[in-house]
Amino acid sequence: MDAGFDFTVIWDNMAHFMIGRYPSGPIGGVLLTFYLAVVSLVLSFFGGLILGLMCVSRNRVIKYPILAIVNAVRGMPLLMVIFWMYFLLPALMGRPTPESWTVIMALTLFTSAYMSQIVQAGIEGISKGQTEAALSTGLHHWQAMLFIILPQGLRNMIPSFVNQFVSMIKDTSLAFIVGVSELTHVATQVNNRTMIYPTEIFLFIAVVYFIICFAFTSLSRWLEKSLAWRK
Amino acid sequence: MTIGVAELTYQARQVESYTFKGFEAFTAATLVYIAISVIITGLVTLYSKKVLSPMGVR
Repeated sequence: MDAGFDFTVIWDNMAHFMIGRYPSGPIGGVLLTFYLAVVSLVLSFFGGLILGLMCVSRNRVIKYPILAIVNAVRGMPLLMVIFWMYFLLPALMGRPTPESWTVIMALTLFTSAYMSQIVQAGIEGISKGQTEAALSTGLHHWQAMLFIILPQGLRNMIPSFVNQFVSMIKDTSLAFIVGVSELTHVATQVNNRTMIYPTEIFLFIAVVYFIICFAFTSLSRWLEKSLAWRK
Repeated sequence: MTIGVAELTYQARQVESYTFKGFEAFTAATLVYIAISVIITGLVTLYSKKVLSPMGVR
């Protein structure tokens, strides 16, 4: 028996890998991975911003509960967060929630917690003089934060954001545990059906994840360059 | 868990499939994970307060 790889299994199932059962069923594969990643990326950007601003709040009633929640979420594996969403969302909503929204909510909560730390560090990285100068011009405290500190801090946060987002794109693969048919789930399906090509299939999805993440990193590097400090 | 290494999450799923008490099993697992991370955070904070700060490390 020769030990060569047979990549025809990839080509035979290409449509399944890319869009799942789309025309005759729900979307899946790379398309669903994109959907999960983009929706939770947008939600967790704003979630992280809001949580981060709450963490640097001077109001103790806001600050300490939020810090406790953020630290609890950061202390949990993502798998646990997904399980909790899987149990809790239907209980809270009173009706069944789609699995994809379970995963989106879990990813949003998890990534927001990490992003809040980045936002917090970015805000603390801006020198005190900026706040003092803004306050001395008569701006309110929240105005100083929103119009002076945050715009400066956000530029410094971009590299850490990108890092977090790339790891979030890869974290969408954990969605397969609750049966969301994204790329990893589709790959296990194809693997179970064909049975003898695990190396080829998982090598292929590794390459796909790499391409997605590399494209995202390149895009953000370009964005970083065009937003760079003008000196 | 996915490749059958019997760590905490795997055991929680085992307990769930033996007893059908998934909620309790995952609560226990989550609490253990949070406890571990809180202990580690606490120890490092203590270290940085007792050892690093007197040395002048920020």
